[in-house]
Amino acid sequence: MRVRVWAGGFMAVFFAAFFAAFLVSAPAPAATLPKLGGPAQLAGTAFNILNSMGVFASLGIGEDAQLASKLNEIIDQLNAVEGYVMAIDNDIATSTQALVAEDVKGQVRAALPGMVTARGDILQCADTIATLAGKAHTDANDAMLRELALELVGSGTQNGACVAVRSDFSAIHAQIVSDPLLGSSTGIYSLIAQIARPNFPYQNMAEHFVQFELVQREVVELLSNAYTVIGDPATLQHRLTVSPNYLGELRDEEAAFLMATDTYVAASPTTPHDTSPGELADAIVQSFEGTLRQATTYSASIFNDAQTTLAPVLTAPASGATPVAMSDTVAGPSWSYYQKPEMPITTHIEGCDANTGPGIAYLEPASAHGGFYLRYTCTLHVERHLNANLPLGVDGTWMVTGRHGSAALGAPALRNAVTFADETAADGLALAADPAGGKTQFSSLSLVADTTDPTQVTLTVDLPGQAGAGIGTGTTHGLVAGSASPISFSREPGGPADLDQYALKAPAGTYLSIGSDGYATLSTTPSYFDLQTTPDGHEQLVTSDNQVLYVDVQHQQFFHGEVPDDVWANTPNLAATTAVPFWGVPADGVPRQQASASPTGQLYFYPPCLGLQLGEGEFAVESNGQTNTTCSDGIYQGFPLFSTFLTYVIYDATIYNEDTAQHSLLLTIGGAAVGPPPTVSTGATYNGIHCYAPGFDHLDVAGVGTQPSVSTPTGTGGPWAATIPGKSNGVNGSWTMQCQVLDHLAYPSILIINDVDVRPCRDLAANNTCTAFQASP
Amino acid sequence: MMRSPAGFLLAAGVAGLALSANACGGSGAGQRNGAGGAGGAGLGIGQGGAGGTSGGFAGAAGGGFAGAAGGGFAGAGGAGGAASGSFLPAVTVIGQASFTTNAAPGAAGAATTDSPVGSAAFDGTRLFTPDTYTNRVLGFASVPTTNGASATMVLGQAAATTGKAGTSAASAYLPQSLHADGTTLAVADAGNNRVMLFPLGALASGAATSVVVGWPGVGAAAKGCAADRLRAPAAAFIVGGKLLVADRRNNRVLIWNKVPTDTGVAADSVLGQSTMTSCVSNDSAQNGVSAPPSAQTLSGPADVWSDGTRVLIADRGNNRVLVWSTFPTKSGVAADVVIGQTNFTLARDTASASVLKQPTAVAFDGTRLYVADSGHNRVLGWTGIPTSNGAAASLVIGQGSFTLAAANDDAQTGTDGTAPTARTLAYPTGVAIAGNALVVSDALNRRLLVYRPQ
Repeated sequence: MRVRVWAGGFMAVFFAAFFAAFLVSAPAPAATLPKLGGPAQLAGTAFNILNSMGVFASLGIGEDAQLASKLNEIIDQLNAVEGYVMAIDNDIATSTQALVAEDVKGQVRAALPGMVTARGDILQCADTIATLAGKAHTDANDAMLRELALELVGSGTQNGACVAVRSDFSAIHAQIVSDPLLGSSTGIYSLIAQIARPNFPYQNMAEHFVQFELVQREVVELLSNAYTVIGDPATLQHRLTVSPNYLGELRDEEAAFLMATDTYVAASPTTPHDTSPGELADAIVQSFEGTLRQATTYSASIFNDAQTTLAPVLTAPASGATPVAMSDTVAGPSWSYYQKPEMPITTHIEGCDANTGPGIAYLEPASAHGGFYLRYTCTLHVERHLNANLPLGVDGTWMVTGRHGSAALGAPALRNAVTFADETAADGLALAADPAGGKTQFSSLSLVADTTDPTQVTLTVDLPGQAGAGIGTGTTHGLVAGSASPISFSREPGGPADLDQYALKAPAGTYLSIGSDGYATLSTTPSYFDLQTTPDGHEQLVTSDNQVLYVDVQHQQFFHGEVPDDVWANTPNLAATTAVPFWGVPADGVPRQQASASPTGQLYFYPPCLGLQLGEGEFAVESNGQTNTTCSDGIYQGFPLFSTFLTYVIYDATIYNEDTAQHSLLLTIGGAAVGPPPTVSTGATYNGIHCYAPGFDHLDVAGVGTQPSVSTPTGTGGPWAATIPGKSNGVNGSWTMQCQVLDHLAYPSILIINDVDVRPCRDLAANNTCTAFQASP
Repeated sequence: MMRSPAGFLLAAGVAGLALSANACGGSGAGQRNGAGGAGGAGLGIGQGGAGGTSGGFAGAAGGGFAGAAGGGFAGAGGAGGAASGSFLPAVTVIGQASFTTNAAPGAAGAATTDSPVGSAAFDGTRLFTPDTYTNRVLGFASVPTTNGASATMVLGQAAATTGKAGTSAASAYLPQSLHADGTTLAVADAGNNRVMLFPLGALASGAATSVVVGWPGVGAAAKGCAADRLRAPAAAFIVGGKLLVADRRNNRVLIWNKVPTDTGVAADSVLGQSTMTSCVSNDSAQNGVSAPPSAQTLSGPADVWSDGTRVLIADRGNNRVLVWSTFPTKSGVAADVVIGQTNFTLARDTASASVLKQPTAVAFDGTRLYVADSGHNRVLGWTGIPTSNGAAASLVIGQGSFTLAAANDDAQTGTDGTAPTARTLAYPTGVAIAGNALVVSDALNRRLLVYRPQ
């Protein structure tokens, strides 16, 4: 069967995408577009994205200078990073941290050559694919293309030309996240965060890698399309998650970036931005994605209590307004990658147990509701939604509804379109210059010539929601866009050798120039600007030192009001003590009902089913008169958080007395464990249940056993008498019994409290204890 | 007259110095470049022995500007060789009173020029020169033979004493290269993003253009990227009834298969781009992203020449001249040969006999190819149009060596000189064949130099 259509299309898309992942700036397209079999299916947005990046052209033309040039671009970018590192030498020369910085710099330098090695392999793979794609249709050739595709995802069966590419990709990944434990101090982001300074902006150094990560996300989308085309979608997850775990790497790279930003903000001696790492990280990504207005929500939660993505919804304050669903640009796609046990972020959570292994621990009830509370966890799940391109009508009065309810967006943070520096509204729309001004999308200006005197021009720029806004005199800054009276400049040509250079002279005889603060001003000294044509046909004004004039259409960041577990945006550091400790289980904010009615029969208290895998950990709520709950899994002996013989599950039963008179009760406790499961062969023991309550103490349930020698250990304790105080001052009387399972809880574990007998007390002793009970009603 | 080995006298020789036949007859290929005329080998400048070190300006065996046997005036010692002897001096200067001045004129006048950008045009009798920063074109009744001659005609202004830019049919804004085919004078009115066509027959001072290319009407033309729009066109060339325009800031050359007789006619094909709506430099993938140069791309083309078969484009931004051996009949055709670089992907600029820097003009007289190598402050010459990549020039004007490139470097020290001389150049932007003369637009010296055989 001819599979050329698939092979060509898939290979083209896959390789182009994969290759694009190594391009971090404008790529260098080659001569011709390749023939893409079936691009209509693959194509769509994905095709356009890559076509616009010029990467398709790398196929079908064989090995040539252009292809090598493309690959060289990533090397150039890395060299640029290295240049930053080298240049920072002098900056830190007088620092007391010089030795540390030297070490860090050395690590950064050491990380770069690995990418050069990867380059060679990728080039070889590219050459092979290009050559093969240019050959005639044969089953053999098609099969080889398919094999190369599989090799690219690390699933090849032969030792083909692309067999090393996947590992090369991982090698580059390893430079970004060089340790499986997030928060490693040796990842690129972390390293540059440590050496960045205001004059070597962190965002500039990090951007190469951020763009790398952003493009990778597109690669995943393309892979998904490709597998759909070949009718093999079921294998996609497998292909992308087999070791090395592509999706996991993406998730870790993003998390590493956020973590490093946290480090940068916390450690920077003179913080150029506000102290929120989340906001700074967003601003950087925001710039790369060309986003001007965004709303970000963060939530940190434990374990797998929130399996589904919940994109926040914006709602206008007007009554009955239709919510606006905002698509995620960062966290949404990433969310699905968080499907494996979470990585411990040990260095960022204060109070995390010295034991860095995964674990869960519980505390005694601390609130009126009783039940189970998480004390802490070493496992943190970060959910981050970055919702881009908010409609212009959105303002701080809008409500955002996220995982933890609704809150007002609040006033936006305003940031310079290039530098990310905090600004006020007065800085908005100022004409300014920066080497990165072209990234703003608002450096594309129009020189509108007078109809009869072409030397007279006005400058305009297309702003969001308004085209052709003139540039005139400003208040806070010399020139601003949107002025009602645009300045008419006389353009003075630069001369024969500089055909595209002009000075722009204002009517007062002053010239457009750039002040020391980076904002445009008018000066008596002429400054010549190079008029460069932008791809959309406008003019871009560039200074002699390569600063690009732009209009500061500020980034506007909205952050909705936070709830306790939305810690990231609230605090400057994940290690904030108050941010972590208390989460409900599950973290849905719904308090569990307590058994408050007078029981007429047995009360069953079920401990939670605690699991270590995805989809486990359901909570077995208290119930009255229910049958036993069967858990799909339990706590294994192999995962104790504490030493043997220490309690690691405590649960309680509270009985409320709604009468003003006290009541006495008599109860027995039965313990039972059903099992063992086939997979548990040794070690699971069930040594007893200890219960504590007013009126009795340290009473054990009898008849427990040890697995697997005793298949169904069971036993009964009691009866014991107790007294429930009466209602007083409107507050119900209550009696609480706490029980704990000793040693290791077998699989599955069920604690049954049965034979609870609540009877009126007939003889109340002076010490307020019941010495004789009435007969049962 | 034979020139002495050490001298630079131009000699009327047997093989050289002949104006192309059509120089007078007004037929055939363009006069500016004197191409293809029957009956003459065209204007030639003698070349030295290839590869030799002794040829120098006194190259013995070349055809010579004067065409005398062995009497070329500027054979520069062959590829890689250091020229010996002195520079070739111009015989006449236009726009300045003497060879040693380059001051800006205090006011516009008939005998001054302020930075001619682009090539002059010769219609067989009259010489037209671009006076770019005075926003006009000057016309001389003949190629001047005395320094500081006054023009007898002005286009783009109502009088020779004004220089204000305008957008009307009789105005110009930063005009650049000119070309005359014997019937029509084409003016690249760069600042107005248009090309103006003037019938030569009844041409008079202050004339209004009869046809505007690049805009549907007169007035301020809006630059654009379309088949009927231009953006700072640098040159226009008419050959065999076709019009070619170097649409510089659109990084392309547009071709009209028939010289438009109406305003606003769309071009038929394009070089440097594959479509009429792609205008980014070196946009190999036609996706709006610049890339390294290729045989199909251009970056700021400043001039175009053709004899109806071959097409040459001064690809200024890529430091090269591209050659199409056969006239392209469709858009996006790749060039066949590159001059100034050794392959199509390089854009080096270190001065040598085979490397150009910002070439701005190209002309061919039927025998010799001249390129205004602006960034190297020189004019290079090749015998014939090269058919292989990276061919070394055999002639250099404005410098005494292929490796020196400073402006007005009369002392040949490698540093810019303070004043011009008859043999130095400062950013030459135009080369034109005018009868038996070579006219070089010496832009930064605010003059045009006339080289003649003697």
